[in-house]
Amino acid sequence: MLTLGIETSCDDTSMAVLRDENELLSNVVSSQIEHSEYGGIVPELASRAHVQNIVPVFRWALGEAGVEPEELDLIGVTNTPGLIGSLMVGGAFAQALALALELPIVPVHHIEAHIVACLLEYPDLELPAVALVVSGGHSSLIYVGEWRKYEVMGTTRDDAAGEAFDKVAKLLGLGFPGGPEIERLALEGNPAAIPFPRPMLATADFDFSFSGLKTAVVRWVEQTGPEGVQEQLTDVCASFQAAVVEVLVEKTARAAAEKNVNTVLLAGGVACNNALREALRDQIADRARVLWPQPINCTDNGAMIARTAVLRADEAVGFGEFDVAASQALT
Amino acid sequence: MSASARNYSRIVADSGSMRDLGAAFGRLAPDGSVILLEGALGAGKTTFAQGVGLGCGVVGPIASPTFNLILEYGGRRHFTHVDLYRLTTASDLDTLDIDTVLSGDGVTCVEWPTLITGRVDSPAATLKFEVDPRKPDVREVDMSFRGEGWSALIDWLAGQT
Repeated sequence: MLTLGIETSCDDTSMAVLRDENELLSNVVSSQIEHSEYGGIVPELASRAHVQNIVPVFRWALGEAGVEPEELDLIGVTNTPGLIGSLMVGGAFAQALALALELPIVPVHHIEAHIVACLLEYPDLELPAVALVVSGGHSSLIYVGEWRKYEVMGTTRDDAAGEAFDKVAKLLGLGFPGGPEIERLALEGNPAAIPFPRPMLATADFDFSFSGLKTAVVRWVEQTGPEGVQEQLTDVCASFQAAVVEVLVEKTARAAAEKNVNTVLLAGGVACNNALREALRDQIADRARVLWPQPINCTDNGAMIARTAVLRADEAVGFGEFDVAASQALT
Repeated sequence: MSASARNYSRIVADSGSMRDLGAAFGRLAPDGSVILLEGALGAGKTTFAQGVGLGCGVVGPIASPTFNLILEYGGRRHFTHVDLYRLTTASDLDTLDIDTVLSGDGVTCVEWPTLITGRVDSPAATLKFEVDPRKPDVREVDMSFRGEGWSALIDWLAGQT
């Protein structure tokens, strides 16, 4: 069985072709195309970019997989949550394809797909599990009792973890996305140099808050002045990252203990952060197996959508029965 | 657009009071109004907007919309939370269909609104958030109101002093 996964919920247009459950034939993201033969343009944002990218990405994904459109058996496409205009581009493309090729479509929840991405590389992973999903737009702890059944244990009350990384990076004059830049500089810095707050570390719930931490960095930058910030750039990066990581790891460890699981999954773009991975594994390794996908399957990608579509193939709908939603809870 | 602007200023002691101020806007701002929130990172814009959502009767968390750009909530009143932080050019606004968003019912908050100043013709409020570096919890909020329907909110503000 060949499944096409389509992801357009935010900035990147991505598609993948998956054979059966785990044999990934291609996984293409629009930001890779920029200088390729397709000459795709990658502006900063949203639906117009998806409109320009979606056909080149489709051709590239099929070309790399060596698959003709007529050979496809199933389409998976993100239908929630995300920017409505962006979701509609992927949804409309999926519907056109479904009509032309008489294919069924599986609407896929973006957050579920981030978790299911772990299955691509660890098909034997043991449930139940606790999943920490951290990205530019999401920070959630989710209990996965069995596949397709989720309990959101906690979520961010303000800024997402990745958003905090991006905003602090911009504040420090670093590039975008901010996570990799901060992580690189933090390697040279002292994580204990500046005592940034650990928001909500002590609360009994599983919610996060990163807005106050961001504000603490803003205040520190104002008080320190531009020269001092440059002198202490590696220390401020290391100290900020340490604060984010400590809160994420501590709450994840507590969630894993409460649910008594043997598996902890780390997913979403921030899962690429090595400091987070190592701290999580250090703290939890004696209690649970800690797994994360390789970087391309952590950031938004078509492969995770295709894999989730296979998982939910019995929920496929036909042309005209598909709809998108800006925000819909994971259940 | 009404010609007369009305200006108010308020010292807000902490984040709880900021939420209370936002909640008053959520309850009392006129239907279809747009609230523009200006101020630096960490100045309290999202905290205020969370209060507006509470005032609109939104149940559940109201997170930062920076990544998703637009988040909408059903409540007693419809609440739309927009954040243009990531946008760099006015042409990006068209891809968001921003004029439709701004003409929605209920209450709409817009953080980092520089790109849309001049595009708003609903009843509008502009709030500027200032931080006093000597008092890190305290914010000064300067408010100006345009258009009709703000009297209930302005009466509430007057009653608070």
